[in-house]
Amino acid sequence: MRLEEARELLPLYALDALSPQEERELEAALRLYPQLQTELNALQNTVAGLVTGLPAEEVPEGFEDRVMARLPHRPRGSEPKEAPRPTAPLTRRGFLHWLTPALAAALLVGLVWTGSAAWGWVQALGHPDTRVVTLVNAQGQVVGRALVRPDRQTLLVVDLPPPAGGKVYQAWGLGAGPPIPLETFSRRVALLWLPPQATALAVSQEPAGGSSSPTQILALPQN
Amino acid sequence: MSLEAFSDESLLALVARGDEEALRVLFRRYAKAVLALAKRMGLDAATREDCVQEVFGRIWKGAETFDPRRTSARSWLLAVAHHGAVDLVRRQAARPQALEPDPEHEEEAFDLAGPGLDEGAALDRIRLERGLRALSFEERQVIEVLYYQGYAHQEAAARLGLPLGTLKTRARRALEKLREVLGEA
Repeated sequence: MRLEEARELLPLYALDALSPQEERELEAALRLYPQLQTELNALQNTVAGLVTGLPAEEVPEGFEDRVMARLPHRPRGSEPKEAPRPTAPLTRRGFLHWLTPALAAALLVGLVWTGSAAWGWVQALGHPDTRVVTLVNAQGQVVGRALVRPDRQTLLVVDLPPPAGGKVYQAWGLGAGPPIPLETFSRRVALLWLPPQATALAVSQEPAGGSSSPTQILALPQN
Repeated sequence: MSLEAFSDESLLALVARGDEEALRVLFRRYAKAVLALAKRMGLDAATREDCVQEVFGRIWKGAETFDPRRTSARSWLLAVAHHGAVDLVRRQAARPQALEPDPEHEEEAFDLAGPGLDEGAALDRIRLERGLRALSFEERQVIEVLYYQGYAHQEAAARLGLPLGTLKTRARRALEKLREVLGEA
């Protein structure tokens, strides 16, 4: 989704008027275009006024206790689940544990494909400053991992359908500003260099030669 | 320790850790608004209570997904409330009456006067009333059908006989006008 398309949908998102699929796509786009967040926040605050400005209704006596007694079960004092953090350092054991079989196979192919540099990547798996970025599709399914070495060399492994005819995958660096166009590739493995201003990366499908802004996003960092 | 002075954001963080007292404080702050929204969306009294139950159940289970970097706690809580109400409206097909069937009574259709709880709530109500009156009839229609009747945008466009682009433009313009009025001190 392009920036302007995403911006056009912000009022409908704030009004809760998008389909679940459109919501997921827009949320994916918001991660790519963080500059839209301020505009969305203003719209959401306005929409909140559509509720807080309504004449308040009295709460029936004893209603609070009834609601609390019927809450879905959840152990008191339980710790929230920690969402996997794309920037968290990961041990070698952790990284391998996280790989799905398809991605593990692709990683092996990738290590062979890197040829003489393969040993450097194997060593990187155990380096405390090596980071793993988990990539998910619009449905939240894991479709790739990127291994980012301390020197920002990155091994990207994806488990995506082959690019449509005449198209290629393109990687994007994600940071505070607009997505940074990176290398295009057509296989399941790519080696690239992540610019210093990028903290994570995404993958899209683009016309041959790549684009200056993403057209069809296929994979985004998992929150 | 009383949690009454805690911000909504802090309370949500506590709820995410399983603190029922924090949820109770949020209930006291927002249950009235959820009931009001459910009523505005055409739900009957019994279903309005179901709506509150559903909404606070979702907050209880989903507080850990709240991200203060993305939105305010107030917006998040009221969005959860709207989601819950829309689900019930759709489940029961309990749509409110069509908007403003009689243009002669257009002014009264958005008269939101009602019993106030405190000065802040009264001010919110006056602002919303003023904001809605600042909209054109067509813009109010779009807000009504999309938000208070809970239709998705394609459905709303079909109901109003509008191209999708026009609906989007009116929704944006309506929210921009509302923002100007609601944002007034």
